[in-house]
Amino acid sequence: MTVPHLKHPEMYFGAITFFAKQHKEDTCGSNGLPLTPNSIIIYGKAQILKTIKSPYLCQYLDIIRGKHERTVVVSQYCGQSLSNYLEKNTFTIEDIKRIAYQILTGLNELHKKNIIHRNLSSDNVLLLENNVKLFNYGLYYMTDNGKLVSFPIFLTNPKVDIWSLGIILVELTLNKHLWHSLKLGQRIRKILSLLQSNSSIFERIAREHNCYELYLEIPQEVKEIIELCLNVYPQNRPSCEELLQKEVFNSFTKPTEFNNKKLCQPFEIFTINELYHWWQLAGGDLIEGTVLGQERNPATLYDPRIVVMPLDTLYQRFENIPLECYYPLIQCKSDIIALAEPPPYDATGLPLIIKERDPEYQFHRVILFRRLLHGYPFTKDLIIKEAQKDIPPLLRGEIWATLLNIKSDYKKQYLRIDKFTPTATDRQIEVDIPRCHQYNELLSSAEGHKKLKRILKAWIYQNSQYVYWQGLDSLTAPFLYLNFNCEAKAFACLSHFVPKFLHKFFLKDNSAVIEEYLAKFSQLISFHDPELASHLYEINFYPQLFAIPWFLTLFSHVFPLYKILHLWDKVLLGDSSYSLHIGLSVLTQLRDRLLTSGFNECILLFSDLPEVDIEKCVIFSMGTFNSTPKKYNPPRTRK
Amino acid sequence: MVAADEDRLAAADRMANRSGTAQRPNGSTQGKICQFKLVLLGESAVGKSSLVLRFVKGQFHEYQESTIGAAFLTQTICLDDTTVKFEIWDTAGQERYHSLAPMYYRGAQAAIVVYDITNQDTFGRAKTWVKELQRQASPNIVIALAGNKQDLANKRMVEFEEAQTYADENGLLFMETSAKTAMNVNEIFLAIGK
Ligand SMILES: Nc1nc2c(ncn2[C@@H]2O[C@H](COP(=O)(O)OP(=O)(O)OP(=O)(O)O)[C@@H](O)[C@H]2O)c(=O)[nH]1
Ligand SMILES: [Mg+2]
Repeated sequence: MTVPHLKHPEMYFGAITFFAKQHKEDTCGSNGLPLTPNSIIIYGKAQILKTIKSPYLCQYLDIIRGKHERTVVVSQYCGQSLSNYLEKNTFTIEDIKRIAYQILTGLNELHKKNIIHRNLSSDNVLLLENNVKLFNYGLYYMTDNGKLVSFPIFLTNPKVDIWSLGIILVELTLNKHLWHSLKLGQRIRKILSLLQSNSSIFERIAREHNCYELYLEIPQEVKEIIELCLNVYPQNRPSCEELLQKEVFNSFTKPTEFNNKKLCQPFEIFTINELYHWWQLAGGDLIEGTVLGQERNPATLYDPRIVVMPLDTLYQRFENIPLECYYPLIQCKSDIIALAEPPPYDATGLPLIIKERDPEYQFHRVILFRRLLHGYPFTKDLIIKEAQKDIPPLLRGEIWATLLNIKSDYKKQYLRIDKFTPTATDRQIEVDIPRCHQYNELLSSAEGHKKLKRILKAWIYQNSQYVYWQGLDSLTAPFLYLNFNCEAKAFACLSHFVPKFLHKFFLKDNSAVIEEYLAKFSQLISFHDPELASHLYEINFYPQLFAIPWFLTLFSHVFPLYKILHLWDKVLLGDSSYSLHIGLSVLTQLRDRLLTSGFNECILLFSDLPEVDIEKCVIFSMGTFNSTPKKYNPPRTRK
Repeated sequence: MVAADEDRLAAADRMANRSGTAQRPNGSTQGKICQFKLVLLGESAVGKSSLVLRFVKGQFHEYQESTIGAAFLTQTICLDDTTVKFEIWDTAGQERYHSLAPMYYRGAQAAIVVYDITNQDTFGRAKTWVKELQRQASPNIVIALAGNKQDLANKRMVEFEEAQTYADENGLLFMETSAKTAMNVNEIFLAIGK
């Protein structure tokens, strides 16, 4: 009954796919190591596109790497392409002006971000009711101006988009697909022949398509725009800004209304991002969708088809979610109202992994947390309370930031910090970054390397009392992974995390704090497991030999990212002594093997840490954390 | 970890003793079994962990993680009728972790000091390590010098002869190695074992 709630006309998505250029086999970089695959570089570069939000641009949702350097790009896809309407509908002059204005506004936003569409055509402009959205505008950008793919894209001037706009406007005014029946080579020849004449290109196109009568009827102001766009010389074409100033567009509202610096942003219960996430959880399959567009040209590696995703599975799955669940009560004074709440979706007792993949459960969690985050900082207590149950992966970055008390001016703070002046630490950072969680696509991308370097340099600059110890890179990795598109937030998280959980660990002389942790750790083992403690003591197996990276990096140098995330979900709710309890629980999981082993076998176990069940580890460590007398904990650190 | 305090030295001593009192495997009658404690030292990112990984597992990871503190690995090799068990401490290269090093090289019978042939500074750091070992480690420690990343010889910054001369003057075993191509990796470990 609530499905209509989900069926927002703008909330549909589609995918395109292409292949990145493959490196020749056995090619190595200057360091003798294999080159980063181009698809990974693309993956990293494309992330920022997801942050672009505009009423005239389809929102990017996801980038997926497939086999053999295939890249799948998922973005909003709503309405129908303009080319679909051509020759079927007629557009009034007023429609065309509005469409031109909207395309220009969208393009202008892209050009301001140094993104050239390069692919603009009536196939890539989607019309939904009275609103136009540009589609697939990031291809050129994400492939580093075409360098990372083998299909041909030339030219680097934003004015190419202006030409394309001109062509679209010709198509709309003449209501014709231009040169529709011609092959690519013939089309190119046609266009080249146009370039040679001095007369109006628009007029000649009209004549060629037997539309001269129609051409004569077009109002002068519209003709003028088209002529300006179709100037043979790119440098003579106007920019988006200049075109938007033209009088024809005076009747349309200026883009100030979309200024996101407004005092109060309207709250959305969920956005297309959340819908896409739920759709994926509900088994949405990118291979399944309906294919639109032209056949793939086998000669190039670019596949112009667009696959539109069916959402029925998701709608069916969410069919029985009551309307009230879209509006959960978060602060409720009256029992009567509280009783009217539908019973909570019961997921208690399910393993965390299952909960994270259950679409209904994630629906409820995401809806609730979005509300709580919207109300932050006033909802801080509620966020903590809910985070104790579990943290929905989709919102983990934001939730962590609130748990770490990130203030709203974090962007300004980051901007002010020097991240570029060379320092003596640079070499160490440079050799560490290419070894830091490189199995992860984001962190191994060129973009990821640059960001990590800037964050580390900023941190060292900002914290003159501290120094870079190897391991700080690993410690930063989870924050960068979660906030890949917002370096400033990743930095703010790191900056709040260290004093709270790793106070003094990054002092130049950190021996005192490390010794203290190791000593407390030994005590903790003795307190909870005297048998294990004395065995380890007898075989001379001291924490100094294996536990330093555990505590110094809070296990971020020890476990893979997906485990660190689950671990830190709890770390953030604890205090600086919690890491000792994690250490204890790791030992406990390996207890039987440790008890029957000598020194060598024990230390080998930790050189190559075996599978540790993180959920068990978390449950166990929360248990000992809550039941251990405080004297076994290191002193509370600075808040 | 600048000041190597009492506690840590005590721990180092206990470790050193440990290799003396190590138990023999049950029923070790055939052939000699020889335990061999070895430590790798050298600037960060010269390829210490990669050399050990190549020797112990025959693998090379291009994204080998950096080492914090130290890592311990073992490898058993049969040399003629002797079984040699290598107990290898692979240490952290960053200068800051320096103060931890004595814990690992005390009581070691051998050390491999590694530098990167494409980086002159790492050779300088290797010399510093050699000096420290000569002064502080057990007097009969066997020291080998490994010029790693030999596969990048076209980017060489440290000449073979320069390193060879230095090694001869200081009585070190010397080889250029490559953890990537496996060149001289087993050789250098075995040369020490003999
Ligand atoms: N081309 C080439 N690269 C190598 C070789 N050995 C190691 N590397 C690379 O050099 C980098 C550093 O290697 P590691 O083994 O981590 O260096 P490390 O000396 O253990 O460094 P720390 O743990 O920081 O002290 C890694 O990216 C390795 O893949 C080699 O023989 N040839
Ligand atoms: Mg190492």
